[in-house]
Amino acid sequence: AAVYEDQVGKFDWRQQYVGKLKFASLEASQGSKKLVVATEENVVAALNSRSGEILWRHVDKGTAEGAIDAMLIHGQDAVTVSNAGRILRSWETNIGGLNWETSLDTGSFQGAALVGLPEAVKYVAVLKKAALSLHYLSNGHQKWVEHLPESESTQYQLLYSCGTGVIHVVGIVPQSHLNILTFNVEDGEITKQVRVAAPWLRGLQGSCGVVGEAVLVCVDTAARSLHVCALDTEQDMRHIPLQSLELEFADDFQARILATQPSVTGASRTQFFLQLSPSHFSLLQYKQGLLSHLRDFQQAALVSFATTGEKTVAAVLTCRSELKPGSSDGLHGGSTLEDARRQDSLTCSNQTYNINLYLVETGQRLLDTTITFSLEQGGAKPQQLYIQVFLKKDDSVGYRALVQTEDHMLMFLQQPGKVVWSREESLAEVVSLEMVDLPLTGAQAELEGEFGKKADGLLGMFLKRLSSQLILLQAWTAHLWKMFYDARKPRSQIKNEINIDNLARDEFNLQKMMVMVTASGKLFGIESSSGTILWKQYLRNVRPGSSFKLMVQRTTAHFPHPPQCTLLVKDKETKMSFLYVFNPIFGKRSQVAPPVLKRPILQTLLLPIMDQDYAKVLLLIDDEYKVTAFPATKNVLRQLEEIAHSIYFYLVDAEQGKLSGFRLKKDLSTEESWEVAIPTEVQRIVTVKGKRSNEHVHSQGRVMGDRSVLYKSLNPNLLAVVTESTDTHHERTFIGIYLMDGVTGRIIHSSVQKKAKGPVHMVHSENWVVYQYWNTKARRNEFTVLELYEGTEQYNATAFSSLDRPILPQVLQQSYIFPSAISAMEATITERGITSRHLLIGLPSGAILSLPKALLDPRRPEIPTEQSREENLIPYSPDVQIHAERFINYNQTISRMRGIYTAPSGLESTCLVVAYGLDIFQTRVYPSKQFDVLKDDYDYVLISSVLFGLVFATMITKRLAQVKLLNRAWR
Amino acid sequence: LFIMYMAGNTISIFPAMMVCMMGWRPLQALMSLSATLKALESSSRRALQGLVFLVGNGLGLALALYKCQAMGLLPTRPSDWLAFVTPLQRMEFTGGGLIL
Repeated sequence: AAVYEDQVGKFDWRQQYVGKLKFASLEASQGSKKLVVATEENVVAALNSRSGEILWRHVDKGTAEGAIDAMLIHGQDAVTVSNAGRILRSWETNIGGLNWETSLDTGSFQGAALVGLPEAVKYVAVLKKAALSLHYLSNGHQKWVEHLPESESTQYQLLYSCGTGVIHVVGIVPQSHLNILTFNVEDGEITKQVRVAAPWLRGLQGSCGVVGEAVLVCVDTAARSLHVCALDTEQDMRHIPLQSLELEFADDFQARILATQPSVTGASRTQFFLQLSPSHFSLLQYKQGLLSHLRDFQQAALVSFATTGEKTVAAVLTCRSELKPGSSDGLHGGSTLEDARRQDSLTCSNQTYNINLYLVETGQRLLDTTITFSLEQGGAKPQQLYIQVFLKKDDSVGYRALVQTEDHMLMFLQQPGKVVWSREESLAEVVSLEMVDLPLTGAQAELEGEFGKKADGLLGMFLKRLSSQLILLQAWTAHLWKMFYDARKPRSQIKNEINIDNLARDEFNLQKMMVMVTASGKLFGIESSSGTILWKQYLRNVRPGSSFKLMVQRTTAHFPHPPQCTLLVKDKETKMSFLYVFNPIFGKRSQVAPPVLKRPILQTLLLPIMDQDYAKVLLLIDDEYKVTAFPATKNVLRQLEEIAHSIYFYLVDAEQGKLSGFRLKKDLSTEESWEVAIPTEVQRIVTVKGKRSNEHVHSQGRVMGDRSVLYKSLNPNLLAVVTESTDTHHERTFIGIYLMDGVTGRIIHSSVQKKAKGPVHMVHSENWVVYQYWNTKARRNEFTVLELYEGTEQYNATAFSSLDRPILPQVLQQSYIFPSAISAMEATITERGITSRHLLIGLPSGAILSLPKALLDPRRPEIPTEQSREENLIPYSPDVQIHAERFINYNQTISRMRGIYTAPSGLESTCLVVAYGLDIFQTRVYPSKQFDVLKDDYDYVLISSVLFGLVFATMITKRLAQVKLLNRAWR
Repeated sequence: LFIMYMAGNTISIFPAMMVCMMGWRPLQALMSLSATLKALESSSRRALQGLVFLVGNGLGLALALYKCQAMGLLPTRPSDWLAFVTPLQRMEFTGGGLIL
């Protein structure tokens, strides 16, 4: 499975992502090349600001333990706090090395800040619920830690220092008072403790900010006023009503304050933004006890401060046209979801935005600082704005902007509106993936169409054939002409770019369209051979945490009908679902109107029957166990009526520990036919896996050593159900495996593995199930393989019916030790199933191991006999080793792999593999080597020269023989 | 015959060639049956001799077949026809899974 050096990157590609930004920092200088980011995916990374490439990246644990709580930048160092305030790390941002790491005491994290003395920034302060600690920036050592008084009742949330040798900590007792503590930086002594009454305040985050020389400003939405308190000197808050400034507060919106501190050694700016409504900001100034109004920003989507040298500017992102509440274009189904979001969604109707800079001191707009950019129609709105400001040579202000939109796309913009680069960070969270064949070219489609049509007379057929051949000839000459034309151009100019117009299936169908669904609700169409994103579509009304199911209803095989994919989206909270139907090649929404789903959908079933337009029928079962068909034409309903008796559903409710089967009735209602209860007190269902519907099994049995046949038990309705015990004590924990028939609910095999623990990874294919678990007794990872055989006789050699199976299959089982944990597992799949199967195992190290299924074969004998040797069975050995040459992704590791997807190609030997997680990796595998392809280094020249030589030699010798015969005759 | 016995039942090029020869020669002889009969025209017990010739060659052929069988070259077991067994036709369709 390993590749040769010259094959690197030939069939495979990898794309790396960082995820949605949580914190970002752009250096305030024109020449700077990097931006440091920390993301929701627990990644700390530096991006090249010229190209958007990742300079370095550190991936922490994917769980909450790795979550990054804060990131602070000081010079070349980035300080991060992660694991709920437990770990403090400092990174060198140029090369990404770790400077130091210290672990902090427990306690819920509240905030972190750099602390500066007037001359230099030397410390970082971390505020916990009950303590404040100060660490040296140079080595992370703790300088001091102090307990906070009254920490049970007071929530300390705000940390502030401005280079005066003291640290202010502000705590709040909601709706009662504020507790302001002042610490001395040198010894941690509390120099001052003030209690300020603030009965109207609920929380500090958002509604309070520190401006100027340590002046706390809080906004009171209800009273429409500001409250001001100097942290150093004052004992109570001054009340400043805002009515005089003629500012209008929006109803039911919590007003927010945004302040900025250009440098931790100096005071904050006296100017700050007051956000009055989702789209209304005002720039205010509080200086020497006077509040003044500098500028009002209506229709602003986002604001941000940035500082370079002495200048601080405010960047304001506004919509070019009016901001409108809600999206009323009705692009997507599920109108109820839209209503729910309407209140907090403001969309820009033509998706064109402006960014402008304003000088904060005066509120004046800086000339020539407008960036205008457009987002896709019907797309997402900007969510975060980061500005990199710098002074140009002529002392004017220039800037670049980093914009993150709702769909996790990052755009880096330059004046006057050029997109330097963009990154699709939602691809770090792929949840569902399908591969669709590319369409045929026009000429090929013409030929196909000819065969598809009904015959209309000999002459007509002949003419049609002639015309299609003519078209082929035309295409071929055009191709030749293009080759000739390209050959004259210098090689560097020839771009073999793939774009949506020249997409066509290649000879062996190795190139496909990957349709990816991401957690943010953005869909992507990616060309599989190069990884180019060909289309993207954002579903605006998808809330985070929705579940998705992607189905291919019509493939590209039915020209001229366009291919059709259907995505079922179900909201976690409202339980409502909607269907989104689209063309997987062009990403366009389909003209076909999907049914409006009034009830929550529990599951779906894609039937192999088709309507007159060759779209497979999709059945949706809702929470009243009623079935909706899509498409629901008369033709389909008639077909459904005919075969209703053979359609069954199974639903697995993991919460109630219930598996139930339903039978479809003629009127599209269902009746329950079986139910299996798995008591949730003891064990819970973790996975249920059926077989892949597109899987072909070529061989119906296995040839034994004595040349008889052991027939496989290929039950297409078989389900493998895995349960884990609720008791996780290492002596009593267990996992259970149930093989059930999805039609009858009959348990074909069940086993309980004692002293075993999840997470269980499972592959269910053909007649076997492989699962992996942690053995708590032996403390190791183990594989168990189950294979089902019917025996040497087939009960029914023509048809398989679950309802008529008097004999239970024989179940063979074996276990193996595996030296590593695994993060994903999948089996290869090929067009006709002749090629031997491999298991693709994603390891936590990021490698993908291709393990032959023959190594996990329960018929491996402990003592090899004559017969087993005849069968080529490998003698049993308990440990399965990881050989590095079996890695299919050499050094292209995939961080935090979540799944592997396999798809057959047009070549029987070749299987396409996509692994996804934080990164996306695509390659091809050849489980039985490339038996149907000539090797890359096949010597065409030698073979053809030998061939020509031989032909030539025959001709010469023939001539010679003739001459000789003639001579002899003359003699 | 002894050589055939010695050759064993493994399939490799020499035993295979020998079996081929063994089967081919009686066949050839049977093909040239008429020529042989013509040669025997002068003989008085022509029918008997012809019969013996036929039986002898038949035996040779049977022996070759038996040898083939012993070597496993004849498709007589079900396993030899396994590649032609068609996949079972599915009578029921089922679908579903964990509740979304």
